[in-house]
Parts: sequence; C-alpha cells; structure tokens
Amino acid sequence: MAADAVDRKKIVGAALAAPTFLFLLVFFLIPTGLLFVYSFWLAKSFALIPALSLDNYTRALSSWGFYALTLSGLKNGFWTAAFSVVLSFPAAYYIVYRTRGNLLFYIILVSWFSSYLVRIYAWRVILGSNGLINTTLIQLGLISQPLEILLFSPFATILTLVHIMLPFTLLLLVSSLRDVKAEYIEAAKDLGASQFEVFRKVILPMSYKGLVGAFMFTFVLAAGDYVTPQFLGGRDGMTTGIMISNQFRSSGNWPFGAAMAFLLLATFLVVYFLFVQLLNLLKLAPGRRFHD
Amino acid sequence: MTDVKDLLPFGTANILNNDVLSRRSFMGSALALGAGAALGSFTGFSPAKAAVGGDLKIMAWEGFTLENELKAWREKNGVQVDAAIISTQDDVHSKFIGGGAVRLDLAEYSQGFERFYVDELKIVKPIDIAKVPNFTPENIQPQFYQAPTWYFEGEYHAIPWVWGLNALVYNPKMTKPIKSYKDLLAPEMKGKLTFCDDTIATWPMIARLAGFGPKFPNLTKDEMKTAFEGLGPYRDQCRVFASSNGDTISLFASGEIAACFSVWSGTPVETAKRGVETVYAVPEEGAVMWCDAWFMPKTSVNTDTAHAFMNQAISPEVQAAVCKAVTGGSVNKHAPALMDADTKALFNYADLPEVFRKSPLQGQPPRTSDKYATYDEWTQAWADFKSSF
Amino acid sequence: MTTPPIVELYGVTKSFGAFTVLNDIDLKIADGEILTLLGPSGCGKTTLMRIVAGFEQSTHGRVLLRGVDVSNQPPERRPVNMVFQRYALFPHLDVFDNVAFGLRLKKKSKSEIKKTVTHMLELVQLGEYANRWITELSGGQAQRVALARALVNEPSVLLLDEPLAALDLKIRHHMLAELKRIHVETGTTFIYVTHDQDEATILSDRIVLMNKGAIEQIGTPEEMYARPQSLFCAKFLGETNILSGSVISAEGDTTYVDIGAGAAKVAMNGVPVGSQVSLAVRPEAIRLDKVREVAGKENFNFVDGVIQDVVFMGSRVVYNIRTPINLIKYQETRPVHGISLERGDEVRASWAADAAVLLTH
Repeated sequence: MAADAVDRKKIVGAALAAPTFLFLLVFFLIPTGLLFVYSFWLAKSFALIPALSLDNYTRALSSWGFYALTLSGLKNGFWTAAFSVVLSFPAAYYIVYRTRGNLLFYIILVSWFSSYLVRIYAWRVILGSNGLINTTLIQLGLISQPLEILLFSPFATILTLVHIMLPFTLLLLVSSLRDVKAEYIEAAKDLGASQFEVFRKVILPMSYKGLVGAFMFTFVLAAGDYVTPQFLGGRDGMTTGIMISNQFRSSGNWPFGAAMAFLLLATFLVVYFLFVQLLNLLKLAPGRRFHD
Repeated sequence: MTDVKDLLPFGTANILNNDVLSRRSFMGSALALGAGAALGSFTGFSPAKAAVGGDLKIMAWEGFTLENELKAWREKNGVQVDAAIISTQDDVHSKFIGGGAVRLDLAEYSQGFERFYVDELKIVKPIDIAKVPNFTPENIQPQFYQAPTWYFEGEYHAIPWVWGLNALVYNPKMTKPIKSYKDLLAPEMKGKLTFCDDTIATWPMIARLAGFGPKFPNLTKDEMKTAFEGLGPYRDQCRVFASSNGDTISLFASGEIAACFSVWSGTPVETAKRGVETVYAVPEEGAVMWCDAWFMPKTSVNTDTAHAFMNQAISPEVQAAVCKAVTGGSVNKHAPALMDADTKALFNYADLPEVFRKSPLQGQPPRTSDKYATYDEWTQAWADFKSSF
Repeated sequence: MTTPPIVELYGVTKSFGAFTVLNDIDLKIADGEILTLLGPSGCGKTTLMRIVAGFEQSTHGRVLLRGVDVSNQPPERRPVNMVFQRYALFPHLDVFDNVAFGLRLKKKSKSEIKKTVTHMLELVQLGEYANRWITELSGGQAQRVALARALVNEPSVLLLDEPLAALDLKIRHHMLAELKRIHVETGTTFIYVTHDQDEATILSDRIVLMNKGAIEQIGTPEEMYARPQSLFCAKFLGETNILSGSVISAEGDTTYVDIGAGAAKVAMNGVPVGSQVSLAVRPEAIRLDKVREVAGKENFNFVDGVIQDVVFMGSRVVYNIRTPINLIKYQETRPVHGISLERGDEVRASWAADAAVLLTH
C-alpha cells in the first residue's frame, strides 16, 4: 500500500541517519550544552561550583586582553580565508572546467596528508633566521642580515595557515564549482558575456553557497587556531584560543574557559552574518531581482 | 573554605599537551638506553623489613618510574609495578576528587602541592619512616632531610628523591657570559630572548627580579603586579615565547634565540645533542630549584611494598642511575661518588649549601587567599604579560 | 540562392586525434530559412552547430557569418544565439532577468530593456510569467523562456539544439507550431538540430541529412522524402520497402531490375547493367489487391504474398506482407467503413514504375 511504502521509506531514512546523529548528539551536542551550563558556574582549585552567575562573561568582556586577542584571531581568520579562497579559486576553476580526471586535484590534496605539527616546525625551519630562505638570500648576496620579519610575525602565521587550509578550501570550491555546469557558462558566453562577466554574473552567484561555506569554514578554523600563531606568530601573535586552553589546562577554571569559548562562538556568528550582508550588498547573492 | 564534598569532579586530560615536550616526559627515549647499564648488584643498603611483594600501583612522571633501575629488585622480591604516567600534577589529584577514589599505592608530587594535598584534599597517608631505613641524616643531604616541604606537624608526608634547577640558559657563542639578569637587557640581545612557558621555573625569578624573592610564593596582590610590570623591558627583548621546554631547546638549536629567561637546567645536554652549545648560569639573582617526592595516597593498599619502593628510590646506586637518566640531582649524599663524570658535573655537589642559597626551594602561590596573590591571579597575570596587556 | 547566404561553411573538418567527427563539410545557409541538421547520434550534427556557435573550433575549414570570417571569434563576439538542449536557464535569476541577460551585457537602458523583454515574453506567450523563478516553470515554459532569451538579442542566426527532446509528444507538436509562428514573426534564420525526422519534416525549409561526419543529402523535406539519393536517406526518413536486386537492362528512361520475384520496372536511368541496386518503395505507394490479377497495365510491378499482421495505428493502418523475397509494408489511411483485409489473406502488392527510387548505395 502506498501509505506503508511512504512510512517505510521514512523509517529507513531515519535509520540510516541515526548513527551519525546519535554520535553528534552524544559527543557534540550534549557536551556543548554541558559546557554552556558550566559557563555560568564558578570554579575553585580545579573543582566546579554550580551557580548561576554571569561573572565569567563579565570578566572576559572587561578584559582588554580578550578583545585584543580575539581581534588578532579574527584577523588571522580573515586573511587566511581570503588568501585561501583567492588562491584556490583559479586552481578549482582549472580542475573543474579545463581538465578531465583529478590528477592536479590529488596532487594538491596530498599536501594535506602531512602532520599538522610537522608542518609548523617545517615552516619554522624554512623561515627562520638560519633557515632556508634567509641563508639562500644571504648566499646570493641579496641581503646581509637575515630577514627577521619572515618568522615570528603575522606573515609567518598567515602563510602557514594558508598552507594548511588551502587543500581544504580547494576541496570545497571544486565541489561547489562542479555544480555550475559548463552549459551555464556556455549560455552566458553565447549571450555575449566576457570571461569576467561570466565569472561575476553566473559563476559567482551560482556557486555562492559553496563560496560562502568555503570562506566561513576556513575563517572559523583559522581564527580559532591558536597553535600556529603561538609557534609562528611571535611575541605578539597570541590568539584567544590560548587563553581558553590555559583555563582548561593550567588554571583549572573550566567555567571561565567555557564562557570565553561561547563568546568567541558568538563573535564568529556575528562575522558570518556581516559577511552575508556584505555579499548581498555587492549584489552577488542569488535570489535577487534586478527589475521592477 | 568550601567543603571538598560540594565540589564536582572533573578530570584534566590534556589533548594537545605542550607538556609532552616538557622536561618530565623528555626522558622517555633516553631511559630505554643507558639506565640498564648502571645497575649491577646492590650492595650496602639496608633491606626493608616486613612482607614485600605483590602488585604496586604507582603514578610517576615519565622517566621517573624506575622501570629499568629496579628491575632486578622487582624480580627478586616478586613485585609487579603498574605505572601510570603523569603529564601534569592535576592528573594525580583528579583521581581523588569526588566519589569513587581509585586505588593508588604510590605517587609523586613536586613542591608546592604539599599543603594542598595534605591539608585541603587530605589525600596523603603519613609515612612510617621506620620502613624507609635509607632515609637518615647520614644518607640524606640536610637540605632535604626533614625539610618543611615534606616533613611537618611531626609527620613525614613524602620522601624527596630527585631535584634539579631551572635557570637562565644562554648560548655562549651568541652573547658574552651572563653575570646578571640585567645583562639580558643589552641592545645586542634584542629579539634574542625568550620566556619558556614553565611557570614553576619562571614565577620565582619574576618575584626575585622585583626584589620580592624571599617572599615568594606569598606576594601580596600589589607586589605581584609590580613584579610583572618590571618585566616589561625583558618582554621587549623577546621575539617569541617558547611554549615548552622542548620548544626552547628547538629555538636554541635553530639559532633563533640566545638566551632563555628561566628553563630546565638539563637544556644544555639536549641542545648539545643537536650540535649547539648552551650553558645554564646561576647569575647574581640566582636560579630556581625543583624537587620531586614520593607520597602514599590515602587509597594505598600495598603499603609495605610502597615503603620498600621508596627506600630503593633513595638508595645510592638507584639514585646515581636515575640522576643520569633524567639529568637531575640526588638527595643521597653517597650517590655522587657512584655517578659518571657528566652527571656529577651537573650540580655543584661540593658546595650544596651555596646551591641552595642561590636557588632556594620555593613552593607555589596559594589557591585561595585574601591577602596574597592566588595561583589563579598569578596565572592570569602571566597570561596577560605574554599577551602584553 | 538569390540573396547572399547568411552562413557559409567551407571544408569544415573536426578531429579528435585519430577520430574524425566532421569530414570536410561545405554548406551554405540562406538568410531567413529554417535549416535542420538531421541525423542519428554521433553523426556530427551537434558538433557542426557548436562550430557555428563558436563553442568548438574546427580543425580545418572556415566559417563565415554574413560574409565575415568568424572562424577564430569566440562565441561571445558572434551575432549568433543558441537555445540549449536543457535550456541552461540561470537558476539564480527570474524569467525577466534571464531574458534580459544579453541586453544588460550590451548596456541597454533600463526602459529599453523593459520594453524589449516584455514584448519578447508576449511573443512566446509568457507575458504573465516575468516574475517567476526558473524552478517554478514547466518544461514547455522553460523552453519558451530559453527561446525568448536567445531571440531578444536579435541574432543573425538562431541555433536550436534538440530543444524539444525533453518534452511530451503533444507539447512537442504544439511547440513546433509555435516555433514556426515565431520564425515567421521574427524572420530570423534558424539552424535546428535533431535526430527526429518528424520534427525535421514538419519544421524545415531544408534538411541537411548527416551520417558519420559527412552530409548525405540536402533538400526540402519533400525532396528528401520522395527522392532519397541513398539507402541511408531512404531508410532514415519515413518507412520504406527495400527490394534488392541487379540491373538486367536499361532502355531510354526505363531500367529493369531483377528483384528475385520477377523483373521490376523503374522510371530512372543512368545505372550500368549488372550493378547491384536497391529499389525503395514507400508503403503508401503500394496498391494492395486481394484478387490475383495479372499486372496488365504496363507501369505496374508486383509481388505476391500473404498478410502477416495488420497494425491499427489510429488514423492509419499498416499491413505487413510476407513475400518470398522480403517483408513488405503497406499502409493506407483507415478505411472509414472498416478494415477489409485480414491476417492470412493472399494478396498482391503492386506499384507504379515511377513510384520507386533506384538506389545504388
């Protein structure tokens, strides 16, 4: 009977989705909820005291350091996302529209298989005062003193973060560009669009969701990353992540750490909202009418 | 003070743990080699009385479990040791907070935690000193025997056994010899200094530079504030903060830094392995001492074997072996004679009182206090200092 | 052609490595005509159209539009627009903006765009649909939007790539009529690509029949149907009976062919005696008689056989007749007073000498 068939489909569908959902529920949603509750508690000597207090939030919001480190993290996130998207877009375009097969794609993805920490140390070696770049430049006689700016600077942080994020961004962009089938591009060209106009009026709006997704994922991952800035960002390269992790590790003040984490989450949400509005303003979002 | 029962338990498992590269866990690989050779037959130690044997559950820092050093003793006495590794001190007391305390026969703590463990958490069983016959004034250095860190209110709460220094380490090829911390402010040092994120090593020196050295760890809140403010010029000399001992070693090895404010004294041994020479200095402001001790948690069951184990740990041969393995100092007076030249040269055993004077053993800031800056406040100030706010 | 051709193709060849898709195509397309490229899949018709549009480059040969060599011009510069097979309507724009797309690229003024687009939407009878989103359209509506979007730019040539392939039969016929009407109203040259010979027959001024990268025959639908020049053409357009045999003799305008059941007379000449040939006879050109009569009249050829099936197809009836040489199809419009012939009937199928076409290949 038709009704039975529909019900059965729903049950099968739910059964297939259930394991993942349960996993997320148990290992993500519930712990996040718990942490949120904790953020209103207090702590003393590594032990939690249940309470309903906004102390943690006010303490974080009145700390100048919190704002500064968060800004630093946001800057890292923004530049990393921007460079990653801008650099991987041509590669994605080439992979989707100009080649059959995925060889170039795999080559770029291979760089993803190296360990995160190994990468950080590798960049230290390359960018350091006695590292690859400096010794080469000195040997070539182009400089006489090593360039200090290469390492322990925002440059090093962003460079490494982009290096780490690029394959990830590329993956997302390729996936979303694959949805913009070649025939749409042909149709646009047929109607007289130049390469740039095709990009602005067809490709961008059609891959909009994927583009925003790629940018935001990269942004959040990079803005929340505190290990890379700590190792490569130098004396002034700290981000909020390290404040949060300190609370969980050495201070034992989970509630305060949780409060800062949620404040950071709220910040990211605001940034996302602003970004979408910006795209709307620039007329890049789909679903608009250009006539009356 | 809040009753411990009102507090909720939680562990402090560290996922991305910078301490992985700390002094403590650095030993791991080194131990597998070397240590075994220093054993031989045990002579000249007083055997423990009463029944020794069975299984022993211990918790110790990596490299400090005496896995190799006590192999023969274990076999001879039928002892099975089940050792868990500490990565931060919280790993130990987290086992006892709240209900469901776990059986632990023996564990370590570093100085500063004694009051917390004994008075606040009440997780320490007093030691029957008769069962640790090696612990006598004839065997043990006077600075460690009945020192208030481990012996108070008439009870032995823990047995100290390995110590070391955290000091100013510098690269002699990149700077002239350092006689005082003020030398670090020289223009040539700009961009070449670093602070290691080891608070036990760093905080006492911060207090000392501000003139509050003897008061540490009990500085008033204003005194602490002043001390950190005084660090400003040193911060300006830094290009990067090292996240751990391992990171410091790596920075020395790649030539990015010429000096570290205060770090584990075994650093030169490690940088030497990477072909870079560094030395640890005890300038006029001094250095900081650390010391690990064994204690019996309240859930200890096999107490006889626990006592015997501790007794072994402070016997001269074992001391010599473990000091070589962890680049540390011995509490047993007779151990240096059994050490090889390099291990003996680590510290000035000929004049230990001088070493103590310049590098006293100091504890940690109190957890709660109205008058003094608390541990949390120090942590916050340290975090703010690093972010320069 | 009296007026100069609007599209000219000279020696157009397209190869992919060793594989040749188009082989030395020469073609002239008249201004204002509907020309259909017809053929089975793989014959190269789509490739040829894409070369005219500029989406493919020919390996050799030239393409001229209004006398100008556009062989190296990219599609966005050619005065040509295309209706894509799956319409390729921009999903992020509504109907109005889709149609206005090309005009906006030409930087036309807002009022002019509004006027032109509205007029074009009226033309394709979608005047009320300007604000609809593409996902809200049915197949036929989407097709008309695609048409409007292309035509609104007043191209010299409109290319249609199997536009009706995704539509139902009834709508398809309706759309064919629409296309013809729009063609008359705009006067634009259409190049139509399809594999469906009914569409080609109904719509075209001329058909270009293609096979394996070459042109088989060009002509009006009637020419192609009545006078195919090859077996392929005869079989592709409509139903045909093929009788094979060899030429016995030729006299003047008449040739005699041995088809295995006697000699057949064909009103054609020029084929040497002894050649292997095929006779193509359309089913509707056959006359079927129950009673065996001697083919007395001079121009009648015949074969005797038995009716194997009678297939009722609504307005017409098809009979399959089994004969000693072949299966012959006969077709008539449905007899109003009932079908008189049935399975098993012995019949004689006959045809006039000028009703058959002699094919050598």
